[in-house]
Amino acid sequence: MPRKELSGSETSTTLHPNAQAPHPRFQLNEAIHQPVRLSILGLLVHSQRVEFAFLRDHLGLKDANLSQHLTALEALGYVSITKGFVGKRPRTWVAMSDAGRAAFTEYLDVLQQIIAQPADQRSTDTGEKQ
Amino acid sequence: METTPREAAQALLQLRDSQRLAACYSSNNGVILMAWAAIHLLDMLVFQAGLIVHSVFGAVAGVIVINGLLLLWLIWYRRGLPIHPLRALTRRVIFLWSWYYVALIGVGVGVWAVFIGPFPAGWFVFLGVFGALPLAVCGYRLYQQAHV
Repeated sequence: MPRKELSGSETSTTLHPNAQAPHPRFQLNEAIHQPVRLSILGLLVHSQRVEFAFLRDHLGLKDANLSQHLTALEALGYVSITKGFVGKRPRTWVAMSDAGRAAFTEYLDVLQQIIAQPADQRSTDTGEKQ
Repeated sequence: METTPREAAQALLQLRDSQRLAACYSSNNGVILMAWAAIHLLDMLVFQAGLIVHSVFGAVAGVIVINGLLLLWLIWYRRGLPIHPLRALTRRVIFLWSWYYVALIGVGVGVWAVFIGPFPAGWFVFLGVFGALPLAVCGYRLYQQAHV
């Protein structure tokens, strides 16, 4: 079953059964937390702008598939897409917005929290998944 | 994508790889600095050759042509890069280097000519190597970071 897409500020609030505070993984931004979008935003976060064709070729996606992801990220206000020309060649550029950078930084913080979580909580977490 | 600590660590590694890739395909890949270093060395070699054949104007003309070609190449190269970096490290390095360059040429040519006199053999090659060295080292380090 596909994951539910959450908006930028929206995160799941389900509480971990054995913890008072929600487990950090519940704070992960689901709009970012998937391989393709993580790769897109991972490239964009270090860049002013990235060429659409490069993203497509690097990620091994079709135009339509990449457009779908970018449209979703654009709808959340995380990226902006501009079209222009380099010489006579048309180019499409993708850039990360300030909101996107803030959401991505928050996402990285949550990943760090997950890694840094205590060992006993990790074992509970693993047990829960089994 | 799961979110166990191990997978979170993998995601962070994937992002580190993205950072390397972003550098590799942007002007922060070190190539521009290494080209700049090579051109600076070439300029000085041309000056040295001009000194040997007593043709200062020929040397100046050669340097203008070489630097003009570098400029054209830079425009072409930058336009072809698919990623525009957030922080242009190359510009910062060249800005800092330009102060070093002014001091090097000021002391190595101006001060030397005024207070000491004739230049020793291979003096401009020496200045070229010393001038190009910081750019070459920075460029090579950026290149390694981006490609290894």
